[in-house]
Formats: sequence, C-alpha cells, structure tokens
Amino acid sequence: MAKQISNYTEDNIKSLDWKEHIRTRPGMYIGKLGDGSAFDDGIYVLLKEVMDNCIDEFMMGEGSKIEIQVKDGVVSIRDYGRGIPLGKVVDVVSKMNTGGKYDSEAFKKSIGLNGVGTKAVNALSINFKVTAYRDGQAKTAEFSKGELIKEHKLVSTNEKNGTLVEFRPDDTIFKKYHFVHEYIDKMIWNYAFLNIGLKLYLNGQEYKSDNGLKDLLEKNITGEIIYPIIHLKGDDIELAITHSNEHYSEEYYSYVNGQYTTQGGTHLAAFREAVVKTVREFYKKEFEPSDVRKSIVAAISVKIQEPIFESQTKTKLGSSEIAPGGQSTRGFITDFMKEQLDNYLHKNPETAKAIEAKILANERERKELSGIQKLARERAKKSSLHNKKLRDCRTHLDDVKDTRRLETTLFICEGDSASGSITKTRDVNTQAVFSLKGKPLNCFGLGKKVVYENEEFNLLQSALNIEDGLEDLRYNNVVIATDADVDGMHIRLLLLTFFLQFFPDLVKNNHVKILQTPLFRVRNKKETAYCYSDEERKAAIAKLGPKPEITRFKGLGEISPDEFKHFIGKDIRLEPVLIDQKASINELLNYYMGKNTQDRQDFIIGNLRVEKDVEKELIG
Amino acid sequence: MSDIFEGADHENHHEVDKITHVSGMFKNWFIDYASYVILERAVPAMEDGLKPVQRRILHSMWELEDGRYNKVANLIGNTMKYHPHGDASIGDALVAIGQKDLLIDCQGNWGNVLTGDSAAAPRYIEARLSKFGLEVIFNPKTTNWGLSYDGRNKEPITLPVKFPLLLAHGVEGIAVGLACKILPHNFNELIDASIQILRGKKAVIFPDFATAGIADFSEYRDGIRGGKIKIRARIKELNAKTLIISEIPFGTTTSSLIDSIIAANDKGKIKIKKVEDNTSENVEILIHLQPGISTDKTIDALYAFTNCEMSISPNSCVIENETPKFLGVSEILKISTQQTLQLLKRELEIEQSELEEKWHFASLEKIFIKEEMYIDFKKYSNKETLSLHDALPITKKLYLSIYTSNLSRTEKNSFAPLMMKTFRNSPKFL
Repeated sequence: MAKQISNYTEDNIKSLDWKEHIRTRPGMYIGKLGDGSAFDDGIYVLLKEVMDNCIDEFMMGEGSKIEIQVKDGVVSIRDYGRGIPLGKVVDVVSKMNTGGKYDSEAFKKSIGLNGVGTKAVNALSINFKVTAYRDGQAKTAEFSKGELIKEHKLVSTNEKNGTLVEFRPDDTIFKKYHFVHEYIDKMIWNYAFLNIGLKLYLNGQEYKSDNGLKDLLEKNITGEIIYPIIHLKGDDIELAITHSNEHYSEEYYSYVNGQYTTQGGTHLAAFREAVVKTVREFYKKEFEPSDVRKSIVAAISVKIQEPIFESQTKTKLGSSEIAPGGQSTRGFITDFMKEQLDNYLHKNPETAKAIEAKILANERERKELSGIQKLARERAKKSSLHNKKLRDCRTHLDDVKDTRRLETTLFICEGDSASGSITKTRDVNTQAVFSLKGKPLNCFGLGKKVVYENEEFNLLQSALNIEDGLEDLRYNNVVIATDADVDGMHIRLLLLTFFLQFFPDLVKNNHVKILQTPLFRVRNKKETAYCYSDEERKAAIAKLGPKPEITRFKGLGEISPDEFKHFIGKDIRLEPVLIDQKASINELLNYYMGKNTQDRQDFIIGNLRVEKDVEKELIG
Repeated sequence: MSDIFEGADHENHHEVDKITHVSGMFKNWFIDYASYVILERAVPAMEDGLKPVQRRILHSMWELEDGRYNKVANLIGNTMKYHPHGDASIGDALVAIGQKDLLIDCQGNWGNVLTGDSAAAPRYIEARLSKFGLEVIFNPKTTNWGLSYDGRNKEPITLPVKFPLLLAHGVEGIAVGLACKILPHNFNELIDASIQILRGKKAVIFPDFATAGIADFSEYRDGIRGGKIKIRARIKELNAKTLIISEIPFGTTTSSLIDSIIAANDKGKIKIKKVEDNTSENVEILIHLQPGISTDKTIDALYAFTNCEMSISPNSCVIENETPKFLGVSEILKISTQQTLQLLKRELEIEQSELEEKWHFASLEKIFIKEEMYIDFKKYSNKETLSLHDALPITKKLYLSIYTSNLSRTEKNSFAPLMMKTFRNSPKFL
C-alpha cells in the first residue's frame, strides 16, 4: 500500500500561484481574450475592473472625478477617492482575496466585491503600476505580469487623495491588441449615466450626466420617439421608457449595480412582464404583451445585494432575490412599476394616449401579419427540422455552460463563392455557415412581413433565432463573408440594410462583423501570398520577386479550402459594424437604399472611383 | 506617462484605433458598387457607343474572325477571357446585338423581335461579323489597348468606331443612381445628318424604330432626361367588326401587346371577342369586336388602356473621360461625326507614313544601285559608325526626310541592314 502511493506525496500537490493561475486561465477572470476589435474583448474588461473600484469609491461618497487616459496601448486611471491605505498598496493589487469591501453594507451592492479584479489586471499586464495618495503622502508599487518589480518608499506629495493605476496589457496574451475609442467611449458614458454627479474625463474629454438613464436613452435612440421619455427613480431602481417610431424590435439597456447586463436576466424579464401588467391594468384592456412591447426603448438599472450571474462575464443576471433572503427581484420591480408608472400615466394623459395609440397600431399590424406568420410558422417548423441554407456548428451562444460560446460565429456567404471552402475548413465546434443564393432582396422600405415572406430572410432569422429578440441569439458573431469585389459590396449593403431595418439590436450590440478578405494576390510559380494592404503587398513582392504575378483579388471563390483556413482561423480579421452616434439609420438607409434622387446621383458622379488594374502600378 | 511605460514597444498598438462607422461603410461600399455599375456595366462609352460586354463580344468575334461562321457558344466562351461574368449575360448581349442586324451576320434562329420569340440555344446558332462591322469597327492600328482582367490578354479600351453606332443601336441600361436610355435611329438618316454636320449645317435627328408605329416627338428634348415621347401602334379598321394592328410600339412585342389587350378586356375597359396573332414577316394582330361595339371607341380605348400607346422617357447618358455625361442625341452625333473624321484622318496618316517609309527605302535602294555605292563601300567599312552625310550624294528631298526623321536611328538600325541587303543582292560586291 505504502509503496503504491509513494510517488504521490505532498510535493506533488501544487497550488498554482495566483498570478500563474490567472495567466494560464485568463478566461475564468475576464472572459475572452481577443485583440480589442470586439467590445467584449479582454482588454476592455481590464479597464473595467479598475474602473469598478473607482466607481465604488464614488458610491461611498468619495471622489466625484475620475480621469482616464488611453494612449499607445497604456491605460492610466486616476480616481479621487480615499486612496488605498498606504501600508496595503501591494497587498490590495497582488494578494488574492484581499479587499476593503467585505464588511461594508454599502459594498454589498457592488460588482467588484470578490477581491479579484485588480489582481487579474495586474497579472495580465506587462507593466502595472499603482500609486496611492493619502494625506500628503504617496506610495507606489510596480509590477510586471503580477510580479513585484519595485516598491517605492513613501514620499510626500501635493496630489489630492486617491489612487492612480497604470497598466499596459501583456501582448503575449492579448496578441496585437489595440483599443477602439468607440468602445471605451461607450463604456465611460455608461458609467456617467449610471452615476449621476460623477465626472469622468477620457483623454481630457468630459463625460457626465444629470439625468441618468434618461440621458442614456436620448443618446442611444436613433430616429423619432413617440412620447417624451418616462424617467422614474426609486431606492435601488431607476427606469427610463419610451417607444420608437422607427424600428420594430424591443431595445433594452439593463444594468445591475452599474454592470451592463447585455443579455438581460431576471431583472429585465421582470421589467418586461411588469410593463405589460401595468399597462394592461391602467387601460383596463387585455393587450397582447408583444403589442405593448413592440418598438419599446427602455433602460433599467437596479441595485442588488450579492448578485448572482449566469455567466462568468456577468452579462446575465440570475438573482431571483434583491438581497439574500429578501424580496424577489420580480416582486420588487413589479411593485415599483405598478405604483410609479401607473402614477406617471395618470399625471401625463398625453403620454398615456400616445402609448395606447401605439399599442393599437401594433395590434393592427400584428393582425395583418398573422396570415403571413402562419405561413412562416410552417416554414419555421420545416427549418427547425432542417434549415437548408445553414450548416450549423456544435456550440451556440445560448449554451451558457460552454466555455467557447463567445467564439460562436455564423458566416453569411455568397453561395457560389466561399460556402464550400468555409464549410470544409471551418472549426465545426464554433463556426457555422449560412449560404445566400445570389443577391438578397433590397428590403428597404418594406414592412416586417418580408422577413416572413422572403424565404432566405426567414431562414436567416431562424438560423440566428432572433424572432423574439436577442435573448436567444445563437451566435456571438454574425460575420458577413462576401467577396471583396463590387458585387460583394452590394451584398454587404443589402444584408446590413436587412439587419439595420429589422434587427438593429443585433448591430447595436456589436454582433455583426465583416470578414476582411485579402485585397491582392501575389504569386510566382511556387508560392502564393494573399495581402490585406499595400504594405503587405510590397513585402510579398520583395519576398516572391523578381517578377511575381500580381492581381487585385477578385473573389473568395479563387481561394482553395486549405488556404482559406488562414482567413478564418485564429488570425481571422473582422471589422466590426458600428453605428454612428449622430446619424439616423433611417436617413442613411433612405439615402443609399431608397429611391434615386438627384442629390444621390450628383453624389455618385462626384465620387466615382475608377479602378485601374495596371500591373506596373501594383508593383510600384 | 512615467518610467516603466517608456521605451516599450509602441508599434503594435495604434493609439486608439480609427474606426469606420456604418455610415462610412455604406458610403464606401455604395460608391464602389455604383462606380463599377456605371463605368463598367450599364452605361455605354462615348468613344465607341458600346457597353463593356458588347465591346468584348465584338473584340472576341474579331479575334476569331476567319470568314466562317462561329458557334455562338464558342464566341461566348472566348469572350469570357475578357468579361469575368456569367455566360448567360454574355449570350443575351450577343443575341441582342445580332437582332439589331447591323454588325453581326447571323445564322440560325436568332429569335423574333416582333413576336418576342427567343433565339435558339447558343450551341445551335452561329455568327460572324458583318462586312459593315469589319469595315467600320475595327482597326488595330488606331485602337487603344489595355490588359484584360487577369492580365493575360490585351483588349481594346475602346474600339475605333467610324460610325454613330450608339445612335443606330440605341441603348438601355439601369445603373445605380442613374439610368440610361437612348432610342435607336435610322441608318440612312444618321448618315445624312452626319453629312449635314460636316458641311457645318445644323442637323436634327429623331429616333426610328424597327417595329415602326407612330410617334409624337414634341417633348423629345433631344433625348435628354425629362424628355418624353409617345408611341402608338398603327391600328386600322378592317371592317365593322374587326380591327387590325399592323405596327406596334417600340419596346413591345406582339405577345406582350396582346397580353395588355386581354388585361384591359378583363378589367372591362374594352370589349372584344377574340384576339389573333397573324404575324409573319410583318405584324398583324386581328382584334374581333363584340357585336354592337364601336370600332372608333375601341381604338381610342386601346390607346388609352393598353400598350398600344406607350410613353417613353429617354435619358441620354454616356461615359466620357470616366465620368457620366448627359448629352443630347444631336450632341452625341456631332461628337461621333468628328470622331469618325479624326479616325479616318488618322488612318490615312498611318497609311501615308507606311507608304512613305516604303518609298523611302525603295528610293535608298535605288540610289545605292544607281550610284554603285557598294564599290566604294570598303572605304567606309573601317569606320565605326557611318554617317549618311559622308556616304550619300543625297537628293534634297530624300536627305531631308532622313535627316529630320531617322538619322540617328538610321546609322545603326536602318542603314546597315539596308546596305547589307543591297550588298547581298549585288553580284559585283561578291
């Protein structure tokens, strides 16, 4: 006996050092890694982890200003809170389960309470530096990959109290990372909206909000709304509601303790239910829930003690109670809305009238659609049996437990161009293929019923599973993979028109991306190189010279399946589709996809692009 | 930023990435697509009046031209060397040119423009360029050449067309953001009008249709956008119960016209008993009326409610210098006439210079022999270069032309081989 286990001694049991653990399993701490081209990539989580601590200070009533700098891949964040106690500066950022938020009642409604956040940032940064300022003294510590490099002595300072954290993400983990201003901007705005009175400065620009969620809706709404935003506030809850005049889908922004829950959860479910209940009781009519909620744009923020999330990245709330052993989340939200929203509607008869008119219009439209929906349901039955345009993958975004769910990707391709190659070389666990046949319909200006009538759109909708909103979306990335030629451009236009018109949420939540494909092919008799830019082309010419054949790339169909592997493998290049803050989607679509206008004709003629395919030019 | 962050590798990370928003993407893609469709697909070029697909078909036919008919399927295949698109679109365009009966000599069933019957499959029908086409459209010496899409072949950028082809053929193209519609014209009228222009007189042209009919051009406005014409079928009363249509409006076929008549009847706009299509070489549609229905009123109703009257809005547009230009048809004719003049002039100039060169060498040879230059040639042979000044007792005219045009080149390139040739032919030298 003793012999058998002789090799298994105490020495064999290793407990991974905390930083090693974080570095070997970053996913457990920050979700996915990525290079920063998607909004939920790891580098933004790092930023957020540090920010959360600053926000907690603000919520404690200390420090109404936070300064953020993002430059050359380095992030620096300075808050003006109380500052980390100087003797504990090193421990707080480098010892697991160390923090100041374990005992305070106020911090129970905080997100970053588990004492992991800053440590993860520290471990995943090539340079990490923290400085605490307290009552005229400053203490600095420097780290690299979580390893303490230098602990400075206490020095005296004129700086105001607070904490300064600077870090550079480790680019062996976040390969070729880059920060996208757009995403950081959105993140900082969210902090501003959810923390009235807090002033944030991103690279010198000020972000602040006086009206919280109301400001948030105003900033995010594109196009007209039907009535002024309803803004309701109570203890631990804040709501803003309106109906859009332009789009069909429901649009929600939900937050728990300042965390944006992109996938909703119990609080959002309760809200959706409560809106219908309140409205039905107010008008004393049994409206269909979908008629009440169609075109709604709403934001809800709640504070919950010790929230439970369904996923590690905290994007879906699972708590059924607002505090351990307390009132149910559902009851809390329902009660609040029943009183406050009902009161509001009594006090604002014009808004009440507008809502009723909208619901009735929705009802009429639904009835008109019902005939088509019947047809669609039959089709849906068929497509759930087998969606003939789709070659599915094994994992989906709604498999909450799967670690690769965020990698799930649907490629939408031109059938006769790349479907075959992508199908052959894809990773069948996470990559699915949807084949279009020819050009999809220009659906601009058509009603929602085209989504049911047009078989291709209907199958696409059912492949994505977004008929009833984004909650059951099956792929995290919806990638338009058309040729980089002119007809490919046209198909991109047509597909984006479809998404923007009927499923703007899909785009707004950054699920839609464009597959970057090579622009040039350089080849000699032995080798072929595909180049994405002029620089790459020149490099390839130098490598394959003296006289390679250079052609502008014509289509994905020219690439053999085994070459295609590189375009959709780990070096895949995706360009996110981002909606501008200012421009109205409706105007955009109307201009480009609507009827010919003199204005547009002049615009085209003034901007014509002439493609010159001269080989000399390409070599030069 | 402080110490530890300095000097680190900055290159990988652009500060904060510049991102193209959806509006930028739309603009970008839209311009790409629109530019292509306008410049490379739907609108004809001013220079030769052809859309790219037509030009490539004609070039491909010329390339294969050996006096015999070629199967259309093979022509389509050959055209694909230049036109990276589907075979169907090339085939349709080829048949459409053939049906205009001007540039292509057709063999087999090429369909019927009157009834709308389609042509037989490309593997059955055959084509070759017509004499007129060969004469008027091609001349490699005056053609500007470019590379084909895969860089492996040469194709004409535009063809040197010595005729207002665009106006003879007419064109219809729907691009992005603009459409193009130029109506066909009568061959003889175009030539007469061109002559008027060359004489410095004003020429007015109006469209003419293979389907004949009657047209009102009062609002034609030279074919530019905003103009409008009305075209009517020619309807006559055969007897009190029967109407006969002998000519149909441009853009319709007897089948489509009959369909519209039946549709009007179904709606109760006209009351007829029966429609018959007796078209053979000429159009003949018989409309049998219901008893007691007035023929005059029916004719009016036919014009009002069926395609017996069509309103057409021309929109004359061509590509010139890689930009769409909205030119009236008389302007197009003027430009085309001047172009033809220039091309003819250029052809003559080329011929002249070829003849001059021939004459030039013949004269040189003559002088060599006449002056027995080869006898004294030894004297010059140890010189490294030869100058004509030294060597030739040149007549003034010949001297001038050599002196101005090709003296330096002559020394090594033209002169020496010429002499060699002269020597070789000369028994005395040997």
